[in-house]
Amino acid sequence: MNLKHVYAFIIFLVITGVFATLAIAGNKKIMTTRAAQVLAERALIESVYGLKVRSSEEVQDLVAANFTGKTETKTSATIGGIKIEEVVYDTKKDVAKATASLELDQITNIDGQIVDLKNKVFRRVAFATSTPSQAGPLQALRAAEIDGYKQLVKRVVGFTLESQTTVENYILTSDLVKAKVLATIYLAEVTEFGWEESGNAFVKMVLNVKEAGDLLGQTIVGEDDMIEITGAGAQIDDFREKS
Amino acid sequence: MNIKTPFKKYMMSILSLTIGLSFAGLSLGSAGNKEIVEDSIQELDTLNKQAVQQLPELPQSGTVDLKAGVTYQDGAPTFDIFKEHIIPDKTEDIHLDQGYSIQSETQRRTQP
Repeated sequence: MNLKHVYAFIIFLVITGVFATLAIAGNKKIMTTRAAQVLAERALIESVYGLKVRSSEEVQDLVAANFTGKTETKTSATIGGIKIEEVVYDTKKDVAKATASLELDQITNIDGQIVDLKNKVFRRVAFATSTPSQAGPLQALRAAEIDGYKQLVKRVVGFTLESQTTVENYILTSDLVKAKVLATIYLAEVTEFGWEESGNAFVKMVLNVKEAGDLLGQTIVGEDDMIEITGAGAQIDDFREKS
Repeated sequence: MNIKTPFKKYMMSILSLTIGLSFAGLSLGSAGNKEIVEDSIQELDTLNKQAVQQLPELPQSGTVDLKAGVTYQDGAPTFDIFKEHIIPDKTEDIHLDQGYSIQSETQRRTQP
C-alpha cells in the first residue's frame, strides 16, 4: 500500500516536471532573442544615425551622497539594411546576445546632415533577457554605454560648468559644482565591452574625429584625431541601498 | 570525546561557511556605483578648480560663483568664462558708535 503511494507520487512528480519543462519552453527564448535583436538594431542606429544626449551632474560639498547624475538619450530613425549576423541564446541564464551590422552608402543623420558613409560596415552587439534576476549585468552594461555617450559628447561638443567656490587663504573648496550638456553625437563606435570582477560593466567607445570629419565633408578643428573613452555602469546604487 | 569531535568539525564547517559568505557579501558590496560616483566628483572638482584659477583677480579669501563653457583642445580642457561673481572676505573694524551711509542706486544715477 505504502509502496503504491510512493510510485504514484513519483509518477506525479515526473508528469509535473515534464509539463513544467514544456511550459518553460514556451515563448521565453523567442522573446529574449527578439529583444536582443531589437537592442542591437537600436545600438546601430545610435552609432550611425546618432542620438541626442541630455546630461546633468551636480555635487554639493564634494560628498558622494550629495551627488546626482542623470543622463537621458533619445533616437528615432527608419533605417533599412540592418543585418542580424549572429544570435546566441543561453538556455540556463535566459540571456541572448545579438550582433547586428549595417553597410550604407550614405545617410541623413540626426542633425539632418548627409553623411557619405562610403559603405563602411558598422557593427554593434546587444544583450537581452526576459528573466528579471538576470537583468542586473545587462542594465549595468547599458548604463556604461550611456555613460560612454555622455563622455564622448562632453569631449567633442563641450559642456557648461556652473559652480560656487570658497577661497580661504588661496585654497579653493568646491561648494557646489554642476555640469550640463545637451547635444547630439553620431559615428561613435564600441571597441570593447565587458564586466569587471566586481560586476560593474565597462564600454570602450571611440570616435574617429578625422574620419567623422571626412564622412561629413567638414573639418573638425581643435580636437585629437581619435577620442577614446571608457563608460562605466553599476548594478547597485550604493547610496540608495544605505538610505 | 567521540561525540565532541564530529560536533567540533560541524561547528568549524559552519564557521568557515559563514566567513566565506561574509567575504562573498563584501565583494558583492563593491559591485555598486561608489567608485564611479567618486571618480565623477573628482573630475568635477578638478575642472572647477582649474576654471576658478583662470580668474585674474582671485581674492585671498571669499566666494566665487562661476559659469563657464568647457571644451577640449588636444585632450586638455579650455574654459570660456561667461559669468563670474566674486565676493571677497573683508576684515576690518566695525564701529558700533557711529553712523554709516549707503549709496543707493537712485543716488548713483542722479549724481553728476
